[in-house]
Amino acid sequence: MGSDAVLGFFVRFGAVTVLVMMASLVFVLFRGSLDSMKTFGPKFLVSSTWRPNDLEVTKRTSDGKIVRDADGDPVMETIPAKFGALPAIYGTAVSSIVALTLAVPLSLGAALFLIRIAPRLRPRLPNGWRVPIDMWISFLIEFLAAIPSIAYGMWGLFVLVPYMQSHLEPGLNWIFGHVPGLGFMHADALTGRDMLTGSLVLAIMIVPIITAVSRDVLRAVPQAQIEGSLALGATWWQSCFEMLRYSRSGLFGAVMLGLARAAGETMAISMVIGNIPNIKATPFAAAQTMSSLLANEVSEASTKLHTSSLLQVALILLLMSLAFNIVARKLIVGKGGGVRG
Amino acid sequence: MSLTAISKRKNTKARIISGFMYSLCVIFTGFILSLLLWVVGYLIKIGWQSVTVAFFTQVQIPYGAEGYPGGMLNGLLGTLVLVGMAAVVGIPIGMLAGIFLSEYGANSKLSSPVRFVADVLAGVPSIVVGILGYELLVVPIGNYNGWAGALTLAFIMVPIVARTTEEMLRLVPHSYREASIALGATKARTILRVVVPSAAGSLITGVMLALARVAGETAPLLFTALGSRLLTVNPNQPFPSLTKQIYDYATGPYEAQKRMAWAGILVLISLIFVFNLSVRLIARSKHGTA
Amino acid sequence: MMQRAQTTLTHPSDPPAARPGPKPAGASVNSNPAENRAAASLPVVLPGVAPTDVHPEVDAETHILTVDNFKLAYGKRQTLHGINMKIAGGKVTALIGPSGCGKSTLLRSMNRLNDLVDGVKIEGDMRFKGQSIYDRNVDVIDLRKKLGMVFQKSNPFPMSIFENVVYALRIAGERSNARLDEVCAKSLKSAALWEEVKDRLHSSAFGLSGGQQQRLCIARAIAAEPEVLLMDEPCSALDPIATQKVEELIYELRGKYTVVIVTHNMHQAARCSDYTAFMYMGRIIEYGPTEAIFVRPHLKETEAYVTGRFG
Repeated sequence: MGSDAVLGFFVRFGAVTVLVMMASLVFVLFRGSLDSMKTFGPKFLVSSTWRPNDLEVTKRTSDGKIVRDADGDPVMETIPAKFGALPAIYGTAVSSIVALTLAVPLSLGAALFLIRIAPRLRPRLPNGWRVPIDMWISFLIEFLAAIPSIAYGMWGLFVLVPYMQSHLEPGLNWIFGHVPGLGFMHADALTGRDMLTGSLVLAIMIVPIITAVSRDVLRAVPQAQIEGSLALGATWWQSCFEMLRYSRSGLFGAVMLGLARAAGETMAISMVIGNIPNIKATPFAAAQTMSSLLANEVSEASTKLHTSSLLQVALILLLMSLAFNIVARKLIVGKGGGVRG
Repeated sequence: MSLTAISKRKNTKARIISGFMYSLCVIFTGFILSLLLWVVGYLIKIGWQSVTVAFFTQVQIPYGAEGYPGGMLNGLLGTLVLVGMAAVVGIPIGMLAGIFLSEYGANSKLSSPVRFVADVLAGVPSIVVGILGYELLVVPIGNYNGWAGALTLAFIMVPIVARTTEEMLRLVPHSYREASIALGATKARTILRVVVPSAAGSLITGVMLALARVAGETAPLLFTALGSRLLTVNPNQPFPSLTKQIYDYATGPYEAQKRMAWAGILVLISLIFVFNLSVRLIARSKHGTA
Repeated sequence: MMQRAQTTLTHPSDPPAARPGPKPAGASVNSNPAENRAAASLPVVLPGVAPTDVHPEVDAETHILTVDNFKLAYGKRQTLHGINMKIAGGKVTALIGPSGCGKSTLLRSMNRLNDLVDGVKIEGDMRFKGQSIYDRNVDVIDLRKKLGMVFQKSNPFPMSIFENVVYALRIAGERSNARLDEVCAKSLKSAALWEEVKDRLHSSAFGLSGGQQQRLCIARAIAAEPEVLLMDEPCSALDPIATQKVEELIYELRGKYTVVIVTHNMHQAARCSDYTAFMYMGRIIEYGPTEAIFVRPHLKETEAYVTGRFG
């Protein structure tokens, strides 16, 4: 066997391993969730009860009276453990969407700044060198995108949470309490570790990623498109709008990447969101996301059904992130055109 | 044909909107930068105030014992060993897959699914990968262990290394390959002696970025390596790591341990900064000479 | 095509399209350019030392656009050296010259599109109907509406044919659908595209052929009701048949619009322009009626270029 055949075998082995990894991920999570799927069926997705342990309660008749035995003591009955993922799914959806709503306009503004404003703002030093501000900002943004989530989590826990609790949230809460129609968002107690803080930390974390990807997408817009609109008398913004329109699918891809990151983000959010399976209208209530639920409970799950339910949550999270990533890749690569040499 | 000449600058609605959006872009960028600089600046400042010599030289010492709080030597060493073990497994597999995509991909039906799956895998939340490690390597063995942690990190590295390797090898001019083949070299020899060495610099930076990325991971270690307060290199047992230790300290009750956590964050961020900067510099020098 | 007769070509030898030839860079430096020009040895050009040779017919026209000692540099590279030029209203003026002679730069300076380029330094001025173009108070957006532009490579926007044509009206805030329909039809007819696309106005502009896309871009420029149309090698990416259609269109536009066209193709300049300026190394060497430039040029350099002996 020649060296060609050996190398050919090894590289194919590497390539197939990638496929096997993906398959095993899906297979293992699916197999592990079977128990939970059989027990709860589709109700798993819409039930909001998450009770890992059996519960002993007094038995009651249908009209609410306590059933007593011959000695007059209440008769006890056991309610089995029950799992429903709705609060976690809700928490992931709401926190990601709020984070995107905050991050996308900021990121697109910054990406336009990097492409359409910063390259022309290169101040000249006395010795004739020009300061490439746009490159510095780009480097900073990429560096910020690479900072581990635990760092953002610690900042969130020790800086943002106290600030939210003592400054921002009391003000917002007062507004919710006094403006008619917003009362449903009013909360009685403020802890700072809640849905709002979690969403803010997520927003801060995804801004660098969305900015960096949208900058690359906007850079690929042909100069002819920009000049074409300017030559017809478009204003600065109208020509920027033309760029955004031209690259809209790539930008949507950038947003989807941000969404995938937000939905899968674990450490930072589990440190600031409070981790209680709530579905509440107020943004000041503790909540839970699928990833924070997993981070908190997998190592403590004691029953088979509990583990299986957690695996099903992981499966849902996996499928969600696969969907976001697939859409994002299709859009970004599809638009990029001549990526292949 | 109208005979009006060019007008003086005037403020129509479109122009006012344009000016407004221009300022908005500037304001947004300024806001993002100041917010992010606030975050990073705070982390660096507190980290700098908290870092001690003991941080690097001592292991964790529990509250109440003499020498409390000690340092994070166990976590530092643990992360080093975990990332090293992950690299031994993840880098070869990733690079082989990357070489396949770049050099063999053109006429193989395997290449586009592999490229696609690698892209998608790179975006899978790391906690989900951690659960895979838990199911495959912790539950059957019966206890948390270093192997599970290292292999989980390797899993995360493979798609990143594969895609960077492919991209870097594609930058090698086609003429190099042709020249080598024309001299009678085999394909394997061409790849191993010409293509890979000429991309060596950028391959190393790509690998460094992947290492930096997994060194900062916490979620996949929560229920694989678990963490340990001992200075251990025995992968059959629960295994320490810097990030898990930071997490435990940060969410725990003790002030002195929180300071250690801040110092740990500083170390992580400095690592990421140095890696990113060197990647930039190498990329620029490539650009300059090309 | 019959009107073409007015610029019948009676050259000693047919000028081929510009081809790479020996570059006269580093040509001998002579203190007396007039003498040098008289010398038979070609190609020898010393631009800028002598003033532009302007034929008297040019001065006799009514001018809509004048260029006054206009200089432009990209960083340290001086691209235009003190250009002086008067452009006749309602006529077609062609800018010819070898690659890199600055003809596109000059054209793009007329609607201030070079303002976008980083590191450009500009001296001198241009005047549109007597009014300064480079004055600080000039409304650039309004200027660009008056001086429409067609680019080398057609650049339709990713929208329907209809939306492309009415783009300038849309961004100016026009709401009336009747007006948009009217302008769209009128512009497409002026661009000789109406018959080909009237049944699919709302399908994507990318579905058109290359030549149709370029005529769409001309229609888009016309819809803005400019007074001057600047065309930057509008046919260089087109096949011969499409080129012929665009040239016919340029011929039709004469009178209604002032057209300034940059071209590499000397046949094209000869076929569709009234006046031609020959540029070389950032200067205008000779400027006069097209027929004169191609048939009886005053200067040897011009003759050498139009007969294909250099450039």
